[in-house]
Amino acid sequence: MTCEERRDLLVLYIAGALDASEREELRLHLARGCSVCSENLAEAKAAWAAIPQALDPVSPAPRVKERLLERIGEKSDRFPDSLGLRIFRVLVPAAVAAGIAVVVTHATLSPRIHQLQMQANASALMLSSQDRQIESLQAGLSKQQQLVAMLRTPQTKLIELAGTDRQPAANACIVWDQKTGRWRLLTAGMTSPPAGKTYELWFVTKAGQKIPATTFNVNSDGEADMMVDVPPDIGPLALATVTDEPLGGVPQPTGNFQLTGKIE
Amino acid sequence: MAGGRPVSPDDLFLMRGIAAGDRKAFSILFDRHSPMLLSICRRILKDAGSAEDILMDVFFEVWTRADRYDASRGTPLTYLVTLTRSRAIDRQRSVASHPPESSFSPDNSTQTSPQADPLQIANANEQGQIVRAALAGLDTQQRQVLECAFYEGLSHSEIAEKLQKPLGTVKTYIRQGLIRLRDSLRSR
Repeated sequence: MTCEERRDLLVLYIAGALDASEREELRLHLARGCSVCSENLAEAKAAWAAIPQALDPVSPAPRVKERLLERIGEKSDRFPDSLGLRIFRVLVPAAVAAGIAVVVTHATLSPRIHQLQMQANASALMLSSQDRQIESLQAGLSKQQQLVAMLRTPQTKLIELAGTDRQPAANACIVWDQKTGRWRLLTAGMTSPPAGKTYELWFVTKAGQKIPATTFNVNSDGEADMMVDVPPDIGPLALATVTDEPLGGVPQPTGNFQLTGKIE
Repeated sequence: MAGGRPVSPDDLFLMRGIAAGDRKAFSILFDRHSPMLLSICRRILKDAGSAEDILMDVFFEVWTRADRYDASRGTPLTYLVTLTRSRAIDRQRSVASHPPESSFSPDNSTQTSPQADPLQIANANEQGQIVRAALAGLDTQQRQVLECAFYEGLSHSEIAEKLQKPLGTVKTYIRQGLIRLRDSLRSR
């Protein structure tokens, strides 16, 4: 099914009008991070949420707002407005957790993983007075905590990917949590895909099969951070590779190789 | 862009302010969107008192759990409408076996908000006209199915049973109605 075909199904998804198998297919597809379908999903949500705009608005009585402001006033006493304290209450526990994670080592971890742990600690300790940076940091910290949790798992394997001639400045790694069967792809230094294209990650088995994992894009720094479920019955893997493909992805590689990493 | 109109930077700015504990931002957001959200509650619950309770619960949650809003998943208005509908339907189901004692009484509410920004009122009116025009293009049965789905929280099979229609017809009506709305909003 193409993303264009999914576009109209998404309105039924939002309205809860799909059967279980259709709903699961869409959910898995969205979980792979398809940017086209994510945007279409937001559009479908907006259409669904627009239905009540046909109603005549009814302003609440003034006492409703008064009671509400009193209620949040009580709550506010327990949550100081101080930005510094808000930062303290959120980031310090996370920094402690990240700090604890630093001292956990594992025989199979490489210096690159240690570098990622240091980055997780550094992120946890970065402070900012801007609301936007705080939100961004909180989101990023949460991701780093997840990463550290993956790295602490004994069955974690690291796959390093190198850029091909088309991505000379790029490097990437995949943190493979074999316990949960998930890959976390982290890239840096990639150029943006050409217009009308996206990047697609592939599982390449020892039998030579190329199985699509996910499509993704990179930010202005050439970074991507994606989670992917490894199919349980995929068999032994030989390579992880990234190609550039048409938007929405393709079932078999057609584009140019961007990154490749051997799986030992 | 989702919904066919630019996301108001004001709403995003207000949500960030609320997350930082800005009561003024919260007050503005309440004035701006409480009329529409209250109309949803009244439409679902058919009881003014319960509708006001849900409205307060929704905005209290907006204040105390501002971290739950994720801008990547949709606009603040979509978030507010979704949250309000969910809470109102939950309340409606929990009191389904205990009908409210009070009848529907709009005597404490007003049709205009003295606090809301006039520009926002104009924008809301314009948006309402687009939505009404899009829904008016559906036939009565299609609109009825869509309203059952939204305001009563019925699944498509429950709607089919209630309206004595085939399941496929119900899905088609929902799909047609929402696609029509989606495309109308997108074309702005």
